[in-house]
Amino acid sequence: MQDYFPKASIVVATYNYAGKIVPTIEGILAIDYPNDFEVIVVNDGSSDNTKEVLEKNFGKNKKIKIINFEKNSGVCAARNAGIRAARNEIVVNMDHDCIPEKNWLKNLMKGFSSEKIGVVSSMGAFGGTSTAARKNILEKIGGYDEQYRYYREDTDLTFKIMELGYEYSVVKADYLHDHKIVKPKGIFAVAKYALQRLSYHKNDVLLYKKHPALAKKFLDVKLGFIVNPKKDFQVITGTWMEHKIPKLSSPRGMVFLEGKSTLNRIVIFAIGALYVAAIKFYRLLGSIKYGKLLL
Amino acid sequence: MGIQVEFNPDLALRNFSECKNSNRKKEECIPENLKAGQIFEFLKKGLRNYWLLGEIPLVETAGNQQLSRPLASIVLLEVTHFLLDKEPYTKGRYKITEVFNPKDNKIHFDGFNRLK
Repeated sequence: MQDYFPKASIVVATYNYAGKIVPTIEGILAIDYPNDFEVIVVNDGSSDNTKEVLEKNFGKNKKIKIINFEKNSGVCAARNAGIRAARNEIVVNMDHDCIPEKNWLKNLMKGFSSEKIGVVSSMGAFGGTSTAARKNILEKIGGYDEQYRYYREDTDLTFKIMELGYEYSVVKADYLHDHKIVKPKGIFAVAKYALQRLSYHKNDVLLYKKHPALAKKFLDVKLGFIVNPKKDFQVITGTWMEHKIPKLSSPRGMVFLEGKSTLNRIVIFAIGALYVAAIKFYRLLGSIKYGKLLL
Repeated sequence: MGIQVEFNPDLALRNFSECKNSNRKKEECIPENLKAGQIFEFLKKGLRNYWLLGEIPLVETAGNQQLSRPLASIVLLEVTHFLLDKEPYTKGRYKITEVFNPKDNKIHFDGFNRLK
């Protein structure tokens, strides 16, 4: 199939992003696309002035639909509202901190090279930002599973589509991820951040319960119930891609300690081992919650 | 809201003899004659994240992570994941950008960086 440029609905879920949402939406409006597209911005009950900023800047723009939630309901609920409001054949999920390059949507649509392709992403991690799916398929699977609220929800969506027999294609479609890393300051803020990240891993269990075959490969599950500890360790010590200097870091790119000295390396490896044990504990909590053992 | 993920640092395929012996499909093996500019299809069992933003090495695997030195530098053009009999697979297309001399000791890659 050549030059497939269907009408698209781009859904942007946002929360407390008043200061930066305008460049994202303007970036989307500025893309070069040979067919119609609409932008659906779902303000997920922001407590800042996101609602006013959206209304002031885009309230009269016919290409843009703004949905305001009274209460914060989570990214899955917000994206689902966007899917329901979408009028076009293809629905694209774009995060509120991603500004597309001019040809982004054209390049993304090239991924729909056959009818068998149900979902296309330029993110590469089984969904997430810059991910497009056919609306009829999204309706068939009921959109995002709101049990996740945050973390693994994109992967779950992609797996559901693949389990229907569709293929998932990864393409190169550039965008700028304008994500400002705000490092937590002080020991309590770091601990709070770490606990939040650990709690996300409960969703690994839900993913594994719903999609055992795919999640087994995706999470690298050994013996049917334990995620390869090496994988968990590599993420926290920053050794998951380039095995050079270990860094105590988050997958979002925050670096708390660099292993420049032997002492630093010992500390990083000790905290890394502790963190792996903590991830296993949180997965145990998820196992109790969802009734499926995964550590 | 994205989370970083681990990418495969190379595309590892089987020796062409395994294809000749009918053990493997053509797309699972390194093509017999590699030339810069050629485009080939590949197929791998499992879910694999590949790096689409630059050149990666094409290596030969004998299984269990027994890898050869890079045989060529390639660019992945397309990567698609699918299920077949409940087993996940990854397929796609790649373009050869340079073929290496297997006998030289030159280092061609440093992680995801192509050394020229």
